[in-house]
Amino acid sequence: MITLRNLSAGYGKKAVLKDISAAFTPGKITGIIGPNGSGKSTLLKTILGFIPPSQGQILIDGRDLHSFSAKERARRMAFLPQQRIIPEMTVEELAAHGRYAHLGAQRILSKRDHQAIDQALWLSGAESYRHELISRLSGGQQQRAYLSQLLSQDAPHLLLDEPINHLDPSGQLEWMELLKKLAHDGRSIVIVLHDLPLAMQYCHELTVLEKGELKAKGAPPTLLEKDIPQQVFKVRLLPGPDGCYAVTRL
Amino acid sequence: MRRKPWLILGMLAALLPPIALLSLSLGASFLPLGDLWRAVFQGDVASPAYVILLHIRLPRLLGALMSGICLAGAGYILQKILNNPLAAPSVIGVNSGAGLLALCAMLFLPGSPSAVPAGAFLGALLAALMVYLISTLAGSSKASIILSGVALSALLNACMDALVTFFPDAALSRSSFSIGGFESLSLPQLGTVLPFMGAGLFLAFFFSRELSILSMGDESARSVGLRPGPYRLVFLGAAALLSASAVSLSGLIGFVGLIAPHIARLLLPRQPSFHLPLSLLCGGLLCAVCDLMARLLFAPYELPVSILLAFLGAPFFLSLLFHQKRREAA
Repeated sequence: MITLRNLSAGYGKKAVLKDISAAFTPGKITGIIGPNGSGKSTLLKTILGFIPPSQGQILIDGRDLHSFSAKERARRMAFLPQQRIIPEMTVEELAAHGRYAHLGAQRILSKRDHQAIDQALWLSGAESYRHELISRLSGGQQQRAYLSQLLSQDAPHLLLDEPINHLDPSGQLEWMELLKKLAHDGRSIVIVLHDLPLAMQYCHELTVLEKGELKAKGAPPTLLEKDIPQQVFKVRLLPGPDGCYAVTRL
Repeated sequence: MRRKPWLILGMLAALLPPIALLSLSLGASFLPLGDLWRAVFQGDVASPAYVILLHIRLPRLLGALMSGICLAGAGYILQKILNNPLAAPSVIGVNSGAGLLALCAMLFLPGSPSAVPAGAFLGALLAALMVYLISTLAGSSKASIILSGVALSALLNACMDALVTFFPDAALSRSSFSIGGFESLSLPQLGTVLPFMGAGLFLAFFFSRELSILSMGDESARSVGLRPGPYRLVFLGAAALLSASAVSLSGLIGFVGLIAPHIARLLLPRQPSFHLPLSLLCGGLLCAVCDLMARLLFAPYELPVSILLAFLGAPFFLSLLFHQKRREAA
């Protein structure tokens, strides 16, 4: 469980996040949504410890984030950044780097590490191109390659910053189904999403940010009842069949 | 198709003995293999073959190999940590930094032989740190790293010229230094550089996993549990050690550090884990072969080896630029 208590953070003197309290529970997909510039990515980076909070506390499974070493933290939380460099390595090497925090002093991959890598490649669906260079893959394949790194990291908490932005519609749905499965296995998934209908359809919980403040949190139907999407995004959400949503202008 | 990495490494390594033999026997005076054999195994210290071998040809061959290895290693590391295929010690000003302080060491500490590599290391490290800082401040896009390196190189070269203006004694070392070459080396001189080279190569190999992780970018590196800051310093230090070794041996030789890692990538595109050893081998061979060609092409006149390297390197650098542009457009 990731718990945020009265968290404020920003860059230099500029405060981006103000007084945010929230909890992200195992077994659930929590979507972080909000208009552009509302502090969604900043929130993820603060939870990961990349940006020091100016106030408040972050607890990872009951322990203060700042008592973790870099490797301990990586064994608890894996992160998929929004903007990524395309490094010169194969998919398998990328997945293997996910094991870095688990390696001993000799930093050699053990049999257990290799098993974790194989399983991560299989689970993410990147196995068939494991020997391919990342630069030669399509956008969707690259995304799965990165997911295999997160999975081989074997962390209970996965934080993803807009992972489906550049995927085609079927790719986006595949990703969300896969995340649902990963959450079902007991991981907590925290995902920044831009696509409001998908967030409503797939997330168990939503944390809505507006101008760096926590606007609302709760299950999607509850938020819909309170007209939160209408207020924050200035759009109307219409429920459709199979838990889908359509979005129209106000 | 996955090429067999050991086969490629083996084939390149197999080129080394014949090139070494040619390099030892060919030059201003021809030393037949028989003479070489007798010079080495009969130990006739007074024979001309022995003198030429021990004092001219052998230091020159070893110097070329060592310089090539060091430049290739420095280029490989810089390309990885800056995530930029156009980075190389001569491009981003690291060699110029090494050159400036090495020249200072020659001028102000003429008596101590290890002052030159030590000064070169300090200069290379400072230049590497400066390029890194400037490019972070200016936004670390690929272009800003190269541009800040170009600006820094210009500044450092101007400093070297200024030194020459104020201390005319330095003119000779400055010009042979900036042209670069392997012809005036001695075995003890190679010895003073070895610890620097050894330390740089050790860091590059020992931390190769961290180097690869760092090439994913800071956020991904942190996410898997690696702290980018300290490791970046380690690698800038390793690149500085290697380029300082090369500069104190052979002056400002360009392009090897740029080309060698790219040749390695062309030879084994899908096995990045072999690129470091392969780059080193390519760098060493490239310098040894170019040195040999420089001696033979216009014999009895010698072409400075850096001129030959520039003739090969410049078109390569340009084709790389165009290739990258095409890829970005695609």
